[in-house]
Amino acid sequence: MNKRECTRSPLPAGCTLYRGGKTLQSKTTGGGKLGVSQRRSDYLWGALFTIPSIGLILVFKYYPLCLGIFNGFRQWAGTESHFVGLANYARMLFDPMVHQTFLNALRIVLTLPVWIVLPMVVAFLVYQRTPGWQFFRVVFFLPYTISPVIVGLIWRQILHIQGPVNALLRGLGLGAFASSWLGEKNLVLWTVDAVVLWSIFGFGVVTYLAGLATINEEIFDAAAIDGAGFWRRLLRIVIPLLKPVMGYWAIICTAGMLVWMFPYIHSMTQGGPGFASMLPDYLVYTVAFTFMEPGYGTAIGLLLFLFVAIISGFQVRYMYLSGAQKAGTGGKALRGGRKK
Amino acid sequence: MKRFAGKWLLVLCAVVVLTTLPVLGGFARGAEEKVTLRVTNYAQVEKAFVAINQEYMKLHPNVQIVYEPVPYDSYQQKYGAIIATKSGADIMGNELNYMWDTADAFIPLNDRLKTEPGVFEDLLAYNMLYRYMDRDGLLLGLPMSFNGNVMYFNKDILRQAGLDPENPPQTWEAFERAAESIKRIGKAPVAMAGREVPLFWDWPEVQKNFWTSDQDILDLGRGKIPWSDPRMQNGLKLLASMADKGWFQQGWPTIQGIPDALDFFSSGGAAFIGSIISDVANWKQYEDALGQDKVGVMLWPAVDPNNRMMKKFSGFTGFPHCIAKWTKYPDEAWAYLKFTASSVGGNMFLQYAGGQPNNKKFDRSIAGGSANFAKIQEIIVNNTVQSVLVFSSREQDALARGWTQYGTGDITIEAWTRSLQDALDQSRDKKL
Repeated sequence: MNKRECTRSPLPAGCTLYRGGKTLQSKTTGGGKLGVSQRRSDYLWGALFTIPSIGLILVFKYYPLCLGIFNGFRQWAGTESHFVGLANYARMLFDPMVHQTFLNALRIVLTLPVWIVLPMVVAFLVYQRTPGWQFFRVVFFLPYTISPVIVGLIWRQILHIQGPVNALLRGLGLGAFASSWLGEKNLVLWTVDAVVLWSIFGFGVVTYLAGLATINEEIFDAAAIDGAGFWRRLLRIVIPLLKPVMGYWAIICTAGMLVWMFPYIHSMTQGGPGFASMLPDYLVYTVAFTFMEPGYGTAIGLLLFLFVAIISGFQVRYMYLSGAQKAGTGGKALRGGRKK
Repeated sequence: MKRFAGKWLLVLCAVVVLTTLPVLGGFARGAEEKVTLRVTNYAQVEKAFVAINQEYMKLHPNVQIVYEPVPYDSYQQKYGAIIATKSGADIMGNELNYMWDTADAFIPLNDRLKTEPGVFEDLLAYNMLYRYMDRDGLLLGLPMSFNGNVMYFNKDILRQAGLDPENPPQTWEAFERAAESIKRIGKAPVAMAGREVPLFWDWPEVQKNFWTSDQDILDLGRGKIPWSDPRMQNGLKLLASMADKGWFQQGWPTIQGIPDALDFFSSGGAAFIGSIISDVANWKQYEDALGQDKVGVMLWPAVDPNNRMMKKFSGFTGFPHCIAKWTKYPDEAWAYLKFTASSVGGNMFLQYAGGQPNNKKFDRSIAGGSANFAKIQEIIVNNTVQSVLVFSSREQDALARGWTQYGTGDITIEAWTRSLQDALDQSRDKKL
């Protein structure tokens, strides 16, 4: 009986498990009197701990989702609402505001490779004990501890046309590059994107560091002996072995790009100039609470939900497939090894 | 098994005790419970409202006021959340346009006024509170201040530019000449921001040049004037010409009105600023920043000096506080509203925030010897309705976003007009 099977509940026959100072031993026939009692106890304790979480998820996730679907078919006149069928969804088809914001969301998603690769490169530099790595590990993580609204307000001042960034550029003789970072319609979305990346970059570094800690150092040592440089080790060892971490980080980033940028937009541009930096989550807020059209706002929110679900769905599926493939390959290798 | 059942009994008892205790506590408190009124309005006048609320609680020991100010630049969104959840505030200080956008959230006050007609007697302005300024229309709030648009100027900058600060430009032509002189000394003629304020304080004054009567503004409020109308087009073009001529400070399209544009003027960066007399920005703030004798106040210059509309002050009833429909204490809330609109409330508003009381019986000596305050008292007598206040939130948003885009060179007047017309068409209230 291997260890993995002995961790299953109910305890398979022939297993011994130590729990809370007591020795639990399954009968050879399995499922004896003690086993049934223990099994019930396990289930009940399990239920006791999981039911509150399930309750919270139902109340705060699924109930609002169902309510949202319901409200998406309604239109408000002040505080009263009435059923309008698919009118809110039909309206979206012809609403340039909606088109522009979802187009902006797609543009932002295009920067996903940068969000994924940059923290990984930096994490690998830190992992390799590059000079100053301890200092940089702290410096990179610090922005993540600052409230997004504060980050937005700070960068709004820094990026102002008369702010320190442009002053620095002018001081360095690069005045031609000084720009209205938050006022130029072709620039503002990328500026906001960069600020958000700066803000959550440290979390990415820590995530990758956690992944790197699981890789056997001997592999890097062997690669170094074989003459593999930084980039080769990154491409040939880190990326293949950190695929699941990259998948996880990609999902976090995608969700972050599409539904967590609200505080940054609110404090930096409020979606402007015009709608150049407006993303769907900010539009939902504006339509629902500024224009006081909660029904239409909810319908846009549901479209965003589908949008995020589809993009994340592909990523999750890829992650599971690559995970399964890796497990399969690992299993074959293991079996092969045993044969030898 | 017995031991197992015992554990569950213990858990059950704990749950029962934990859920029962607050309920029992609630009954115990019930006997001595005060009436709690939750009041929300803009944080910019927080100091005044803290004082007003303390005074009110002193006079009404059975009432507990819980004051929750919200930032002015995002109050609509905060209020939207309160209204959507129908909770969180019994009394809400509003702007007129948003009050109409969310009209269903508030208790109509028409019946109360029928039984207490004297409430309005001492108020300087209140007709704007009725829907479409019609006395038979819906009435939702009681205003504590009388607010509206003026132009402040920095006397030192005018002097440096070779202009007479005691005779600021009264015509658009003279203002253009003054602006060029000011630019020559390296100052911005006008402090401006790309979003909402001070645009909402400037556009109505520019547009007023093309009105011929108060009725024009009422028609605008009812959605009867399309944005393609020559009067509206002329208004937008005149406003845009200010940007085209470089009258604003560098980077204006991407800054906030409050505090950035106001700070720019208050720190001596610009000669003029279109602003207001009360509430979130007023004469006292500018005097405190620049010095009482360094600030002047006037009505906006007129394209046609003979246009009688340009001699009128664009006013609006400030801080109309409304009673939320979900309040448990409508009578107590009404009593609070009356207090804020009383001379006592007005005096405190003037004392702590430099606001303009709507109650005519306020104590003028509180303003000290301010020449600007005295001038404002003369200006506000002849008044009309401020045009932005008759817009829906959607129209306001389109006006502000278009202004930013025009400033960054992203749209033309024609495209701005289309977005404004689209906003007008989508404004629910205008279709009623």
